[in-house]
Amino acid sequence: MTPSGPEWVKQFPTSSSLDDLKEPFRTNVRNFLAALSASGARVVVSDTYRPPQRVYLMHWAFAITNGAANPAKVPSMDGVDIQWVHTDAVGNPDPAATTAAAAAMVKAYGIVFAPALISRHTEGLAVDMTISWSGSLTINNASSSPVIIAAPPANGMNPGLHAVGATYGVIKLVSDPPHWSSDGH
Amino acid sequence: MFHYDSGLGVASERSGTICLTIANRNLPAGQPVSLVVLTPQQGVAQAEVLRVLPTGCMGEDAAHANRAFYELRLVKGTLPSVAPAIAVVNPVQPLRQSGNSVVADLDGDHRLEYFRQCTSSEGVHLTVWAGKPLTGKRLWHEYFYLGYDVEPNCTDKDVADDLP
Repeated sequence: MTPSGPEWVKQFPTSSSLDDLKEPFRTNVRNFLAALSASGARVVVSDTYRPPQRVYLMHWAFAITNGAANPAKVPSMDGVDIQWVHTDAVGNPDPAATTAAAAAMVKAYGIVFAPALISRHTEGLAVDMTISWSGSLTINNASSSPVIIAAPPANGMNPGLHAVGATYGVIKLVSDPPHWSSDGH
Repeated sequence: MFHYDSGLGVASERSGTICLTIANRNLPAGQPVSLVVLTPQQGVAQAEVLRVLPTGCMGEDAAHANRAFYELRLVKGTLPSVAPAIAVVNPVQPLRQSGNSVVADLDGDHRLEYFRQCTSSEGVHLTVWAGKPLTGKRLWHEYFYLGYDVEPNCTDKDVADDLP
């Protein structure tokens, strides 16, 4: 096992590739993005798939750092051979070193708030993207019918665009401007 | 006269650089900026504008909403790494600590404004309220993207579309 520490942060990186999304959501997103591109909208995709292993590491590192979890009782995860409990020279648990290593991970990840363990991103069913355009937007819905979006805002928070996205099976989560998913969560 | 849109912004520290995103392209070098630190508890730090940045610290561009980006220099206090802070430029009355909250009469209407943050699924909603948060009128709202999933604790009043 590899002791916890900031070197873990480089493993299991977040993807920004549509290839890492699950079908049929992957195709739905591709079709929606193709319509956006054809309409002249500007789209920048940031996060797609967040590996559950990465989220596991973030979640438990944060919990240990903040005293919300006993490092000796953190559940294991397949494919993540991490040793949360550090030991001293004679093999006894070293709480200070354990917490320090977890805190170094938290700092390296840039975590401020407690990470959630499960999300549509870990399931390959969500995409974060920034969408913008100038003036009015004419975009085809999934039935190839043109929809004119003239009202503001000229970005991904436009309710008219949300309705178009829904025809492709790409649903907006209104509370998080970049976030679209298979079911709006 | 205090304008909420151009007088309030979001500051955060990333890799040693403090970035300010604000709908105001007219801040000169040396402009004082007060920072309402919201994590782990509310407090005030003082900073000043160091220089204009071409993009935000997270790669945002300035193509929309009249946004401008600045690098800040911390003058007094501390800013937790990565955590967003509400930046205040030229308030009518200075910010002050009141118990666990930071308050100020930002616009000179003799009523106190309050500051709040909450989390949605993968971001932080930063708000300023006339009166106590969630019961008073929401005057300003910004979203700060975290890039990882968190447990949401925002209410509908926090995240509702900005009213005209």
